Amino acid sequence: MTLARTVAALLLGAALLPACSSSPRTITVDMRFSHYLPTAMDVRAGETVRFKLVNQDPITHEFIIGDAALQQRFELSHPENHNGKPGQATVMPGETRYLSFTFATAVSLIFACHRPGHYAYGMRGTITVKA
Amino acid sequence: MARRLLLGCALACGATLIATPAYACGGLIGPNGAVNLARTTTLAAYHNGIEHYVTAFTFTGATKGTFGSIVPLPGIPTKVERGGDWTLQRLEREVAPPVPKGLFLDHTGVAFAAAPEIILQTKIDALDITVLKGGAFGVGTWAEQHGFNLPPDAPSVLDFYARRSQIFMAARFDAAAAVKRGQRAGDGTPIHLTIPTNNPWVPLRILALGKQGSEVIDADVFLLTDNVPAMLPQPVGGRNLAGAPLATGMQLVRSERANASLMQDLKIDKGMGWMPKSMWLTFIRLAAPANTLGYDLAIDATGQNQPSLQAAGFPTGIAAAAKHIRDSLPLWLAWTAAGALTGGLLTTMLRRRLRTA
Repeated sequence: MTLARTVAALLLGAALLPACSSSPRTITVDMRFSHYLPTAMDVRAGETVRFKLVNQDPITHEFIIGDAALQQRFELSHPENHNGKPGQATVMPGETRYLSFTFATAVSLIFACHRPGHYAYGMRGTITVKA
Repeated sequence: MARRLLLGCALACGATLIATPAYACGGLIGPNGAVNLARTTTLAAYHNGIEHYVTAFTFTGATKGTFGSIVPLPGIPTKVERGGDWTLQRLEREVAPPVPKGLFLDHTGVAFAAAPEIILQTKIDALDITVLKGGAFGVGTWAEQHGFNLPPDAPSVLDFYARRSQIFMAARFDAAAAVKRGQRAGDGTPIHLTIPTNNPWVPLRILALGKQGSEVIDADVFLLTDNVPAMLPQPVGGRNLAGAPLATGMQLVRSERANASLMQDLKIDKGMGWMPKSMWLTFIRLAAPANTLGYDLAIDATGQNQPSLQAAGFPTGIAAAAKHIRDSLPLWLAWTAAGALTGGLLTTMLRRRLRTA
């Protein structure tokens, strides 16, 4: 009976282990005075990162992950609510919002805010996805 | 009475003939962010511990959308009222007699702002004025909630002011009311604030709100004080205060005892009866790229030559102030100034030598 319980416990532990080891890393990104901190991050290909986005400003900001082409497209479009879309978040004044994103392949990406004038003001940073 | 009528008519006519300056004193914000701003004019008069701050907001002619301005203040105003009819125009005429340019008026965006604790609310013509007390976050959030898209530099600019004084004036232009009143593009509404304070200062950095770094900010700043004011930073051509930084974007154009005619003309304007018999007139012309305008104008009118570093926006000391202004200077401008100074020195030395010879 004891042996059976031990085996069951080991099996349960083995089942839970992958889940524990794959729990995403959390990176806190502060938004203050219309700038991000940090402005550069390194992640691994295949890694899922949980971004904790903290808007300390009294104005709305965005956190949009993508390549240069995507950033340019958003820069030319009207502001919208990005919440619920992959790799995108709109963070209201004083709000803290979480965004999980899986980086599939090794590539250099940009994260940015496209509220009017924010990108030109310097509200952008880089994510280097390493193989 | 006759002088009052004559002066009113003369200045009213003058105002329609000259290209009217776009009066405003705060960071202008429109529905799509910052609004382009032409020259602004402000009077900061200080007497018996009271600052009289006079500026004007100009109707752009927009019939929809919200335009507004945020104006940081050195203290809680005891009175916010419609300004006199000609004070700003009379001061402009004093330093630059009007030259007829045509019948068209310049115009600019108009004003509005925001904050958590409402100290005072009033309506002057088509302007909804609210005086607010609160920190940068509260004021900014209030502004956002009232339909304004603050530009990205607003959080840091509001923080710059809130660390010194948490009093802001929000002026919102009611476009429908303006149209109903028959206001035309370019019509200005003067506002006169009476502010008890020991520490008068003129907000300048707010003028650069939302502007591109290289965009030149133009403003006419008039001071009326009991004594010759000491200023920080010093305008070019001003008195030399030991170690005080020089702001190359500010030019001291006039510094003299105000003549009797000007004093009389101002004193008979609405709300200007507080003026004593004699005051010192200072006229400063500001023409500075937005990215160099990281300061305000601190004034010491007591004669002690100690304008407040904090009021100028440099709480960390005079060295930091000098460094900030030096660092924000475009390189070409610094080299030009250095070249002019060296040339001047060489010329002086050469003249002395020739005289000696």
